Amino acid sequence: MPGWPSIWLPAALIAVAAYLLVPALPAEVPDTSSPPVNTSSGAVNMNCAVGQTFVARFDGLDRISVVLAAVRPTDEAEIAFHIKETPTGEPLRTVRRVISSLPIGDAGRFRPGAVEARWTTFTFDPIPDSAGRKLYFSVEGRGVPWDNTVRVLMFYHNLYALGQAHINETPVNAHVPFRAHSRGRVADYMSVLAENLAVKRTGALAPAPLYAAIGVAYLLLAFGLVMAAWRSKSSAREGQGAPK
Amino acid sequence: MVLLRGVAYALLSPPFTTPDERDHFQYIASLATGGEAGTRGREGHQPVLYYALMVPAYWISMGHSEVVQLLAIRLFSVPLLLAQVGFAWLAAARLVPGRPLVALVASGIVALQPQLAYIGASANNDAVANLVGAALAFLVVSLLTERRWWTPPALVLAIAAAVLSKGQLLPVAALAWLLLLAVLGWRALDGSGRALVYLLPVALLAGLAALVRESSILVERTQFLLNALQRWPQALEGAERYGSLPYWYQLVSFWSASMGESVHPATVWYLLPLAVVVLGLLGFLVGAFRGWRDGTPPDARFLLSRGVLLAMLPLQWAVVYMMFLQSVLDPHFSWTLQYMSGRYLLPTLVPLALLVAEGWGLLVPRRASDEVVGSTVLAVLLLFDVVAMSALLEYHAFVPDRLP
Repeated sequence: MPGWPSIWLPAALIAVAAYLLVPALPAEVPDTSSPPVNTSSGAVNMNCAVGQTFVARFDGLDRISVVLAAVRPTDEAEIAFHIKETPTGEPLRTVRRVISSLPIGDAGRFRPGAVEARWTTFTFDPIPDSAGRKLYFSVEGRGVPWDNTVRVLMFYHNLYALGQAHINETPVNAHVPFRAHSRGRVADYMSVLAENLAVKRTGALAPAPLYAAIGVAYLLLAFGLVMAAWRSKSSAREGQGAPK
Repeated sequence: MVLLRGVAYALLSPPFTTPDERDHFQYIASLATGGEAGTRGREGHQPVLYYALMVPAYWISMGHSEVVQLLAIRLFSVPLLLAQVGFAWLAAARLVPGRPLVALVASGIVALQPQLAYIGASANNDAVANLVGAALAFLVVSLLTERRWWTPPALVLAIAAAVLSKGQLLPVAALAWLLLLAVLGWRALDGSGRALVYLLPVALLAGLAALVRESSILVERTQFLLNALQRWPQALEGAERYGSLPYWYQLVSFWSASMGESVHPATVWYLLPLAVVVLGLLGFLVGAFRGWRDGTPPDARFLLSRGVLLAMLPLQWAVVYMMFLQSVLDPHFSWTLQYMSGRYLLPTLVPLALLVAEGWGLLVPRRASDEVVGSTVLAVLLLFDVVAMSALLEYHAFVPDRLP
């Protein structure tokens, strides 16, 4: 197998370089989230707004996703997404979106994570000191007519420990399924992942190195598989002489 | 590789988060304890085959937590994945003998399909339904390409297994059954395979058993179809409202992994497996056309075997579409769009993989390029598999802060 060292050596060097460099790359780090379940949806229009209090885990909060859908989208109206200190406070960040850009349908009928999922992500300038702060986000539609109501996925009763949903700034026993991200590095992402993989796992299934080993084995096998496919015909030819 | 992926999915999918996993687990628990662990639950209407197969996994993990028991069941399901890859390989080797590229690509598509591994490594009777679908495809190919004494009885067994595994398999099983009858009848007329005709009553009995077992479901579905036809304006309006479900859409959903139906945020990744499928099918058409043009049109056996494989795809899709229409027409119906996901197409993954793989072989007629094509297709599928697995990790990265 004279060709193998020349292939495996660069591959090993690339793997080492990736191991050293990739953790330092910027990444969106999963922050806090509420359970992605659905039973209901809240209305956002000229009379109604939906909000949710939450506690960020990390500094640099810069992204929140919620499940939105519009039954009758229109170019004439837009919704506003606000981050505030309190439901009645001044916005720290605001993102606006024309409702024609939202998914069509009924948010309450879609399970987050499904191919029809209506996760809509609002990205804003990072909030530098967000770690541990109780914050509030809201989806408002002061210029949205009743007929063009936007629906926000909600769940009754509240399953989110660190906050609750609000309708027109009044708390209700529900939560808005959401996901928050903070700006960080791949290393932060990996540490969150390792921490979460160990949740509810005990004994031999708990340590994160087990999962790292599976990942490494997968990558090695994948590389070997492609190389085997690449070399199979050549080997056959070498064994049988020149192709006709 | 297949086993490692299966184990990885079994470990990485959070407990009881795959589709209806709690209910499938309850069914197994009930069966394994003779009812002591409660009734069969919401999935109690399902045929028993998968649950019976998983009973030993429940037994050997008794005394441990539910999470460990679930893991045992998931791991027990993993070898079924391996068998499906084997069926794809064997079918491809018979369909296009002497062309390892086709077998490599076909089995690669099955081995690296993320949702197949995700569902196959969970507690779900889809695992057996997908396996039986793969077996049906292999046996149909075997029936049409070679004469082996064991093929007809094995096909009868596979049809019986289809009846015992999941209702959604019935149309494909019915097609295989009709084909079996036609081939046996043809061989009987031919005179050379007269002994096989004795299998006819067995095949008929299997078909009748299927009808009896599933008659209530068939009646319900037929009733619904008639209802849907009568109310087609509303159905079309509803379909438009929720987005139609053409086959390509189902194909996207078909490839989606993690959480069963989740789609990676960067949907552009789905172009990778779709490119493999679309180019393969295109290659199939081009190859067939080339034959007609060169004066060497495909023979009847070629047309029949590929036609049957091709027919399986829309047949399975029609089942999905019917469920979709049902949800559109009845707002109170519990099957929302989440159930219309492409995972219901998985039983016909092997026929699709065979046609696509043969298409790649026809697209690249020079055998000298086989290793380039084969390794490239595998690399593309592997890349997508990594992305799909990262979507599962992304899900893991969000452990919700639940109330205590």
